[in-house]
Amino acid sequence: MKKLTFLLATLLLLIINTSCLDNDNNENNTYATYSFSGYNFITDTDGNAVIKNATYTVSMNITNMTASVKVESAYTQDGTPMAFIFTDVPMTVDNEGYIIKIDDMIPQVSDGTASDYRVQQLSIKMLAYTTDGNDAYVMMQSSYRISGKYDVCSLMILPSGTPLTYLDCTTTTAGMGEPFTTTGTTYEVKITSPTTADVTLKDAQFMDKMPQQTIQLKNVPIVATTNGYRIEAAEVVPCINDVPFEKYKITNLYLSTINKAKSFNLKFNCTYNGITFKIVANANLFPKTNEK
Amino acid sequence: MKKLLLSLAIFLVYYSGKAAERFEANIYGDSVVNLKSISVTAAKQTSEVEITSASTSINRTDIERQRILTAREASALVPNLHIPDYGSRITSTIYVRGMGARIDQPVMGMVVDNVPIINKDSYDFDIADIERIQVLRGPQSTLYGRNTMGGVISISTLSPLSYQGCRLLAEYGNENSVKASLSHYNRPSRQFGIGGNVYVSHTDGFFTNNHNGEKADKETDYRGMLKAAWKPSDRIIVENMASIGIVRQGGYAYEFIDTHEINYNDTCFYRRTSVLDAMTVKYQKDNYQLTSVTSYQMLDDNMTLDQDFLPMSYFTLTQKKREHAVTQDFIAKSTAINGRLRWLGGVFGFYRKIKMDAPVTFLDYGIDQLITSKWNAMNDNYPCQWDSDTFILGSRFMMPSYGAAAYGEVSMDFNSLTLVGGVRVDHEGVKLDYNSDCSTSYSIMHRLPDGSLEHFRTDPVEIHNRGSLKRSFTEVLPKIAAYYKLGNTTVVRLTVAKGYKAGGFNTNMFSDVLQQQLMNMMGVGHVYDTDEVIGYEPEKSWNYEIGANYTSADGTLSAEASAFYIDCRNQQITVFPDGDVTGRIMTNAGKSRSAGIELAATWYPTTRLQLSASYGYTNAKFVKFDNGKENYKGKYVPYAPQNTIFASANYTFPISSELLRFVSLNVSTVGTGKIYWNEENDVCQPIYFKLNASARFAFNKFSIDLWGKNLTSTNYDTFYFVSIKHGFVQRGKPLQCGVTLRVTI
Repeated sequence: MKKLTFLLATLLLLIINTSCLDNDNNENNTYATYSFSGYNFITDTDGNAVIKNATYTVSMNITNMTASVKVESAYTQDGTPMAFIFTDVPMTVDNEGYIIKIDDMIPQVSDGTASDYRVQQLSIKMLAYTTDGNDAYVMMQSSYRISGKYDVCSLMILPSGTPLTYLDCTTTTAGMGEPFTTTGTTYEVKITSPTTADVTLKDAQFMDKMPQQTIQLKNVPIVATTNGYRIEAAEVVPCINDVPFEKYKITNLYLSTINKAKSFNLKFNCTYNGITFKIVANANLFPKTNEK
Repeated sequence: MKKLLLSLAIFLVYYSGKAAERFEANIYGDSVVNLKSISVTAAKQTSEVEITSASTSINRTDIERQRILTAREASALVPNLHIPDYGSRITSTIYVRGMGARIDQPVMGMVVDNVPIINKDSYDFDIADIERIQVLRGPQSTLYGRNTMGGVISISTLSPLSYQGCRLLAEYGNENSVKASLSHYNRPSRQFGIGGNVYVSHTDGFFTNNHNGEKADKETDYRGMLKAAWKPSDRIIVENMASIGIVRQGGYAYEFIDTHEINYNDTCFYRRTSVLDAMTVKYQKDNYQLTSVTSYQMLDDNMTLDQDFLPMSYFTLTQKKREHAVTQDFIAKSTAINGRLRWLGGVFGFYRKIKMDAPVTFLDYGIDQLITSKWNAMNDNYPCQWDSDTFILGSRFMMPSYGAAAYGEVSMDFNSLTLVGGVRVDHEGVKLDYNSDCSTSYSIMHRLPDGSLEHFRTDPVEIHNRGSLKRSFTEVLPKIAAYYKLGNTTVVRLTVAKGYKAGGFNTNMFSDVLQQQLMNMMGVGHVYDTDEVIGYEPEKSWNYEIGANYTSADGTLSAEASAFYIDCRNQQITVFPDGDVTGRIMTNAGKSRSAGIELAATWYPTTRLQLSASYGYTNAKFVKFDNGKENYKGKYVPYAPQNTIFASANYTFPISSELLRFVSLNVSTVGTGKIYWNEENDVCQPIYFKLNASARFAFNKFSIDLWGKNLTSTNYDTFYFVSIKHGFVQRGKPLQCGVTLRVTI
């Protein structure tokens, strides 16, 4: 993913917006409202972790640089859904996008009453980016703590259902001769349910002169962590073009994110023709430099 | 057809036309000694002496003696110039001083009667009635512009204002190789001359396709030319030359190195029709001359190939092309004989439009070997079956391009020293509109525990790519030179000049782009970036040259020596990419350099004996070339020979007879090599030599030549390449021999 410059990001956000006027039909203000659907990664101080569906509705007043945020999700094990509403929160910008920050606040709930929950260190960032230089997307990154107990982070992309695409990746394969390293392989992670995800290795190449392939690891188990999520499986039959390739069964798959899911480390094995190949990779959503 | 050609070959035509200037049967032939008697017809030269780069002139005697009808045949006499016979008239590959490329932009320009031939695919054609061939080596970009960074081949044909008469050529050689040419030049009045030529040639071919037992390289060519010249006044000459050429040729005679056989099962041929009409108008004032050269060029060709060159049905390619081009050159130059200052300037423009249709048809064996078997090797539980025996990767292109340039050159004398400076500003633009289609489908099956197959799913393959790419290039091409006359015998010269070869698009690679896209749709393979794969940048060079020309006082010895160094950036080279692909990529190497020497001499130790020799040595290497997979720094540039050698001896026996005037015996040898065939330098053609000989019996109005080429039947390869991991060579022609009748009236 490549972050777009602030000016382009602003333009893009405005183009994608869904309303231009406020409720008072004030034509002098510029508004943008986005509704993200995805998953929250939730851990608590007792060591429990859960992934929950979540919807974030962000209404930005670009003119006044304020925003209202509505978060609908469930945070406890019993799954009681709730909605938090933050209104007229100050908004700032940096060279990547818009930032909404709240140090400490008791939000309203959907009916306008104050909730029983204290939200601390809320950070919501809206930025525009592209994966191929042609199609543009809007991403929302959020992190916050609820009542001093629940740590929440999420990464969501419009349109809903767009997978997380990690472009800045290094993949090394060891097992036969000199290790082979490539930066041409990229990774997509799409969370398909609170407990499963699809991982796609694009332009995967594990040795020199091997034709690149797009390898799909479907319905692998996923859990939340304090730094995002973890994908782990003892055995996975990979697919190419949705066709299972049992000959290339993957074992000991382990993928763990850091930096609130913006990066991950990955390792897995694959035994073929009696040789066990060990693959390790590290991946970042965004390149370390602005231009890649 | 054969009977007609044979009849023509042995039929004598007697014509009693007007008395005309005759070409003197000069036993010396033409040489530097007689050079001054030939008028300077090249529009972009101010004097014969003022050739600031190495040059080779081939006169009509040597043209006939060596049986030269094409630029390729002339290249054997020119040091460091190599135009190999790759087996098809479409491939006019020129290598000079370590530079060259098999496809797309050439490194040398070709000019016929001051008309630049726009398309390299038209370079290889037979011309009867060549008066002179001049090869200028080193960048000629300042005066000639695009694609002359290695030099210019200038061909002058007979003009009816300077030559009148009737000429017949009839030739027969082995493998039923016949040539026949009939020309007539007439000057009905002092102001008007008209001449024309018809030419036909045929050969059954030298190499057999073992698959069908037929010759792979048979060929029949036709050419007609009409030239009219009008001098409405002493100051104005208007000349129009119109020609049409038709080529009908078999396919490439590529031999598979594993089996040492030429053996392929699908149709291969090359057909070409080319039309050229050029009008030259010269206006001569007291001290200057204005020239306008206008041309229209049309090329219509069809190359159909069994692209795998094997008896298996991998795929075939058809490339149909139609091109229209117009060129216009306005030239002004000083013609004052005694002035210290000479100048030349002009503006040039061209427009061309190419329409091309180039489908690749995948056949059953190719589908299996290149697609389904690769999938099935990875996944025999879910094997792939193609739903049809063939499918087509269709590609259509439209390529308009244009160019405009302004140029000038000035020479100033300082006693024996002359300084020359010139510059050209050249702008060119090219566009590629492409339209690619493929509609096919395949099925994935599922193997059940009992081994039977059930249908898993069917995937359609629909590829429809439309796009447009554009590139433009602007170059400033300077030149400075100095030459110093040492007495009346020697001229020493020093030249520094910039060369330039235009960038563009290589459409040959498009089928591979589509193939990769198809594989990617199946989940395998990487999609090529079209612009990155088929586009290539201009090639630029700086050429540094020092040389000397010597002519002995008595004119019996002339010699030339040159040493050069070329610093080349973004050299355009052809590479064969990894994997099961057939196309070639035009890519730009980072940097290369070429250094070498050239020697040539002609000596008449007696009036009856002429000795000629030329030698070229080139050491051309990559200075920087890393394609991301391999680093070729220090490797020799492929396809360019390191040595070119020519030596000839001609002895004339005068005969005291009313009928037979003299007998002339000639023996010559041509050496070429070592040639590396790839960037890795692990495959090469060592240096080889071909021995040629001829005997001419000259009568009053006609002559009979008995000749032989490659008399020792040296085995050598003119080309090597790898396609879908198979290696192929183009063999050089074996022994050729025959008899030629020439009649001049």
